[in-house]
This record gives sequence, structure tokens and C-alpha cells, in this order.
Amino acid sequence: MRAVAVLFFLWMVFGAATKYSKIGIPPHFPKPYFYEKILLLDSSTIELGRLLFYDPNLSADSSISCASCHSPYNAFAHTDHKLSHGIQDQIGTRNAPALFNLAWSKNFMWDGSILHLDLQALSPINHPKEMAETTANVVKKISQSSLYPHFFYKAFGDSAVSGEKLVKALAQFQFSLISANSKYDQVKVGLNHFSDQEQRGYTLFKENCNHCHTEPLFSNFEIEKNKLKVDSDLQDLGKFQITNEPRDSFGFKVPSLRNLSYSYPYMHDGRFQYLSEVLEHYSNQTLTSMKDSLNKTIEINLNSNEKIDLISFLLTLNDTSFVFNPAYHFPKSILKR
Amino acid sequence: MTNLWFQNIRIFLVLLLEIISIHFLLCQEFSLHVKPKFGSEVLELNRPYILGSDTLTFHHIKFYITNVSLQDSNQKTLNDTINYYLIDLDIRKTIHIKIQESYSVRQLKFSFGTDSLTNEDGAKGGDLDPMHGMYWTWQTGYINLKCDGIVSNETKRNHSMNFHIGGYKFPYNSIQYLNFPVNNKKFAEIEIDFKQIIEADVREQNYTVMSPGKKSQRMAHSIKKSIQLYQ
Repeated sequence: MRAVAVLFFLWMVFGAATKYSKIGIPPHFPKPYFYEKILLLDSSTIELGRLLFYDPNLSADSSISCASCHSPYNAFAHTDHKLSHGIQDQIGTRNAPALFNLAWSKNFMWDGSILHLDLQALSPINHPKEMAETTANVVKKISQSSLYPHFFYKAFGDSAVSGEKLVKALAQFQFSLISANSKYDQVKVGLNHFSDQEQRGYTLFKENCNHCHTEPLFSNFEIEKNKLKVDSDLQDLGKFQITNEPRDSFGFKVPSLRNLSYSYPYMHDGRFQYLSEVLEHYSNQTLTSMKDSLNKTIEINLNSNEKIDLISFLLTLNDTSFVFNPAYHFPKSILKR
Repeated sequence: MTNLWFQNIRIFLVLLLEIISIHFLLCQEFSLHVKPKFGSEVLELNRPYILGSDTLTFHHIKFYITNVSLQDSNQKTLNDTINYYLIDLDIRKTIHIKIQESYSVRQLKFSFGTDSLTNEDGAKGGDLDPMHGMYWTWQTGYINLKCDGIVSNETKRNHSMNFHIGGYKFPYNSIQYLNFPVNNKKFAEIEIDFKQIIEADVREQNYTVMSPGKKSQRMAHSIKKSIQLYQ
């Protein structure tokens, strides 16, 4: 345990705490799915990606940036907006998910439709209700900006802008968003202790939730069905809309449970404002996991005291140092609001 | 001593120049030209074509020709160093492949579309750069053929015609593999008949296929059937 604590301390000092470079893998985390992406993270490319992430020129009328729906203060989700809020006040059909620990995820979007983070940014940029741009026009606008040649040169050794470089830089910034310093993390490496209530909640979590929200990432990154009723206005059938396979109906990607205090409202359509509503939904449910086609059935029965204990544990997953890390925030010394 | 050194350097440079010159003299090109057709007519963008009671006008046609390889009479295979070509009727219709003068092309192989590794392997540049608009933005994967335009008839005017054909996952993999014998060692022309492609797959005047699946795969098979080689 002492060795893990020392490794964790070193990771905090030389990894997360360092402004950009040498972003390592937290010692209590498994090997990332995109392992090479983490190894090859480059401070100049992350810096360029950060600029692009906060630049509203990525949208058709220069009003919406990635950060408009993925605010750093909300763990890169969009608090108070059930559904994503795009260009000219258009409202999408899904809640903007939080962004962190993305190198451990094997797919992206609520329906898991995108398999590589490099290419995820194409979706919001080109979506008519989000940024309503074309990739080619974003490349043109960024090429014409006097700000970017220097940063593209630093990142890629060539100041020419291309779609490939643009999306790779955006992905590198997002891959660099690692949240691994919550109270839970500190307990795992021996630097902190759960209270009795948190410990009871942790035990309940492992019994009822861990199969899908698998620790330490708190997601198995699979598409699962959680028996939410279909919203009659949205008619969102989840992964089915991508595959047209009946078995994928109502399947949505399991989100991480880290930073829940910052990333409400919850569920793919943001229908629940409070954690108590989420637990109310899952209580007295029998869920069948689709993971590995095992079809494991999980019965969840929680009384009111157990729900409070469980929430107490879930709050230990908040990572304040991640949410308030200035290295992830608006680059005010470079970009103007 | 210094003079000898300069003399050696001069000999070396002359030899190097000769080697480079010989290389370029011996290096030739094999050109593959794409000729779009609509039935018996040559297809041109922004010109009307008749299909039954409908009038079709094509605004943009783009597609990928990939993994081009040539074979000579000794079965020696030459794989093209550039693996992906975006054919865009607005911009480019011809592919040039470097071959040695002595190489006598007898067989031409290529794929229509992109393979699964290319689709899942992150962002790429050149002809695969996502700024060319050939990457599906709402899911993973390249569009192998993008054919956009308008369709009109007695009851509708200027309705959209959008064929975005692709998909790389089983069972709806749409990449097509083609193989032709070649007689001319420096030039070949492939014709793609869009009338044949659309006629075979349009049902009830529905001119929209924009996602992977059965329709897209069926249309990809029609694309393969519509491609002929002329020399």
C-alpha cells in the first residue's frame, strides 16, 4: 500500500500537477484502452487542442465552442441543461456527457457510435443543431486566423491546418483530462479513509452497481439497458438508431459516476436532477446486463437508509482538483472571450 | 591532399546525379482514368439525365479507390505506395502510379472503398482527411461513395438525391474488390455507370441511402457490377 501511495504522490506531482506534459496513468487505474494515446500525449498538441476546444469559431456563426456544452466547472458536462443547447438556441436530443478519463473508454457518445476520440469532434461540429459547421469550413477559418499558425507549428512541425491535425489536437486535449484525485482515489492508495457511512455505501455499491459502473473508472463502457421509459417527444431508441438491430433498442452507454456533484442532470436525456431520483429509479429493479453477452441479472433493492449511505459513497467520487485545474480552463492569456 | 579530396567528392556527385537521372528515365507511370457514365452517355456534373419519369442532376460525386496493385506477366506484384485515392469529379479523375520502364502491367487490382482498419484507426490525412466530407460524422466510418444532387418529375421538383454508400462492419461491409486483366502497360480506363447503380437500387422513387446497412451494401454490389475496364 505504501508503494502505491508513493506512486500516487509522484503521479500527482509529476503527472496531474504538471501543467501539461508527462500525463501518466494513475497507479490504481487499469491499462487504458487507448494506451498509446496516453503515452504519446504531447504538451504542444494538448495546448493547441485546448485553444480549439474553447474557440467558438468551430461553429457556423462563431457562437458555440466545445466548452459551451462541456464546461470545465461541470466536469465538462452542462449543468442545468437537460439536453444539449446548440447554435441559435436549438435543443438536441441528449444530455451533454461529462468528459474525463476518455482513454479508458472504447467508444464515445451515448449510443457508442464513435469508436475513436480523434473523430468524435466531427459529430458536434457538423450537427445542424449543435455547431452547424462543415469540417472543411472550420479548417478554412482556422487557417485564416493569425493566432493559430504558431500553435500548429509547435504541435505538428508545420503551420498548415488540416482536418486531421484539427481533430487530433482536440482529441489530445480531451485525452489529457484525467480525473483520479477524488477521496475514493486517495483511499485506494492509502492516503485517506472512508467514514463509516461512506464505507457502508461502498459495500452497497459493490453489491448493486459495480457490474456496470465498474471501479475505478466507474463504468464498464458497455451499452446497457436501464429500463428508463422512452420519452414520448424524443423517441430516443439509443444504439438501435445506429445499428437497426432490435437487440440494441434502448441501449445507452454506461456513464462514469465520477464528479456527479458537478455534472447533473443525469441519464442520457438529463431527466433526473438529483441523485435521489436516480436511486429511486434503480431501486426495486431487475436489470440484465448485456456485457460480454453474459446476460447477468442484477436485482437492486435499497431501503431509504441504504440510499443515503450509497449517495454518501458516490460523493467521494467528486474530484475537486480536476474540476478546478486551471490547466484545463479557458486559455484567457491567448484567446479573447 | 585537398585536391584529391575535392576530386573524390566530384566523382561521387557525378555518379549520384547519374544514378538519379537513370532512375527517373527508367521510372514510368501507369495511369488509371475514371470515366463516369449514365447509360450510354458520359456523365457530367450539373447536367440533367433521364431515368424513367425522373430527371436527375448530379452536383457532386466522390468516391475512394484504394489498395491499388499491379501485376506483370511474371506474376510480380507492385503495390502502390499511396494506398488511398479520393476521386472527386470536380477535381480529379486520374490516378498515376509509378512503375519501372521494364514493368509490363498485365493485371490491375483495386478496392472500391476503405477497409475496416482504415475506418477504425483514428484520424488520417491526405485524401482521407475528414475535411473532405467523406467521414460519417454521426458514427465511425468512411463513406465510400458520395453522390449528391436533385431529382425532379411531374409531381416533385428539385427533391434531394443523396447516396452516401459505406459501412465496414459485418454483415454490412460494403468495400468491393475488383480485378481486371490489362493489355496496355501504361494506361487503363474504368467506366462507372451511375444509371445502372441507381436503376438497380432505387425503389419507389426513393433517392436516399445515407447509412450503412442492407440498402447500402446492395448498392455497393451494384457499383461493382457497373464498373468496366476499357483500354
